[in-house]
Amino acid sequence: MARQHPLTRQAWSTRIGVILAVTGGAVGLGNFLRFPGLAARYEGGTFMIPYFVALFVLGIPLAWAEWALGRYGGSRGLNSGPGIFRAIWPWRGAPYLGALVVFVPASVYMYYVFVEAWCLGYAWHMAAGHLNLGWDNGAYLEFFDRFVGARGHGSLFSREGWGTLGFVTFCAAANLVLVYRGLSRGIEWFCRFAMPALVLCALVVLVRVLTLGTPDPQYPERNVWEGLGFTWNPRTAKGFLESLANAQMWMDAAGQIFFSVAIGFGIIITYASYLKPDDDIALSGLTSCAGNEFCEVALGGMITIPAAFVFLGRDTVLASTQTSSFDLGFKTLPMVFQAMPLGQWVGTLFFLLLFLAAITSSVAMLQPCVAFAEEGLGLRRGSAVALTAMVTTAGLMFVLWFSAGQLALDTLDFWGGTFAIYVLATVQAILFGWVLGLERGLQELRRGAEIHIPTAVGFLIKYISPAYLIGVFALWLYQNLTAAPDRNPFMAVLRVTEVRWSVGLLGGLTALLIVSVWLAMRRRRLEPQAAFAEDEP
Amino acid sequence: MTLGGWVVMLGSIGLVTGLLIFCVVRILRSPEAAERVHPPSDLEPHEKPPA
Repeated sequence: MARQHPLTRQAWSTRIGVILAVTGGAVGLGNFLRFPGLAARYEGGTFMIPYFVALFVLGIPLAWAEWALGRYGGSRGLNSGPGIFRAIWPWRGAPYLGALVVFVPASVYMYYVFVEAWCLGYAWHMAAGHLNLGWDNGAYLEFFDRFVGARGHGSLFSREGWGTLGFVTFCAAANLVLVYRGLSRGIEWFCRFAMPALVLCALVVLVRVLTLGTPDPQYPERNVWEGLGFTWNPRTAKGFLESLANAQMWMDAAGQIFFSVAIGFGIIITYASYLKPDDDIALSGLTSCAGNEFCEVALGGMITIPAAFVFLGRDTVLASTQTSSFDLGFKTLPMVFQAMPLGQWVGTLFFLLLFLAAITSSVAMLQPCVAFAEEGLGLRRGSAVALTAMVTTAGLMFVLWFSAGQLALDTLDFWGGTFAIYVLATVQAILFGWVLGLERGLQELRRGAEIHIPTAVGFLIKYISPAYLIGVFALWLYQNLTAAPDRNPFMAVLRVTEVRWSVGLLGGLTALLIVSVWLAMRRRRLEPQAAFAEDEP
Repeated sequence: MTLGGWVVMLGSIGLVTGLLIFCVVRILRSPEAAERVHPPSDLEPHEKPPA
């Protein structure tokens, strides 16, 4: 017999809306900038083997686990990370671990909305012709440095930074308005327009790139097919098996899948908690993964690198893939668009699609924070959004002020957007496989499922995925701990004042969350609904 | 672009596109496809469209 939804503070209105919202949360800049860079860097097509292994062994199983954990907590009336963890694990420390579900999206949002503003700003400047800076790469670097405030701390708050601050203000306000409007009338409503618009923009840009031919007859080798080959050819100069034995490639492929599917971001677990206990999560989870992969492989893999290759050639593109994705997107591609016929408008569409990809992710990062403020602190929605706005804006202002060298942004990205995500994803994998248990976990996953979930998936989630995840995490830690002192992010905390302050900011956020969880526990706001205890297997 | 490149590109794009089409078809075939996940009564008052 179908059960009643215990607490109906908010709910999704349509199934397609949920899937689009989760897909929107997952599709981000990495799909269009990081993935193609990795595919081109690692022996072309050889990269796709570890990539798909990671998708089927790590990505989809862990995404399913997160959907199941979220719906499990939601069916017991809890929508916040601490509450969901409490519902699954009766241990008193569980809600404190669950605070990671709030910590991760809050800390990532603090810098992500800044990057989102870059995308919107570049779309605007591209459309207005301000990025028509000729064939001088230095001019584009200077534009970027001025736009993001890289010239010095506080430079964004001088006259030359007003434009950037305007875009940041618009993006932050848009996110808050959407999350205030609620799950169905805000996030879901927006994603129903934004996701098709994103795909449409990408298709238009893709058609332009694929019809570039050989734009400069002086360089006949710089044509679109060679550009595609640069991304997709399995270049086996060292031998196929030897290329495949590159451990770094396997780690980067796993990392790409992991971040792309948005495991451990706190998004899926929160969104799934608003489903009914008998709603399908198996097919919905698979669809959102497939939608994300379509955007990444079929769209992202076909646009960025071929376009850059056609105008800049192999060596320049290869060099740009060795550095940050931001370098490729914001320093190299604007020059490519200026050289391209209709490039001004294609570039505008490209940065617009990046903006749409970013805002559907950033709005998803706010929901876990608002859910906790409502549930744990007992606030009404307006107050919960206001509190979230205050905390995240404080962090955003910090990132905006310490803009020289992107030190604050990089530090928050390292600790909040990478380290904490690995920790949260590992905790969630253990929670599903070992605390909830294989039998209950599979039962939860199969409840209302519209596709068959083989029992082997349970084995995969319990043993293989966590081992894979922990292995990648350990390798990542080892690499960073043993890096040269000037590139070692752990030593940077001791050496660089701005990095230390950024870590202090995250420490403050952690302390705030610990106190909030303690208060919520004290007031018994995170207790699961007793009505569902009898349904335990 | 080499033959291997074509195989990898078409195989990769075919795999993700095929997976997406499979999922979308399954969802559209589902009897709940066009229905609301939650009846209007499930939504909190401020989420309902204004009368």
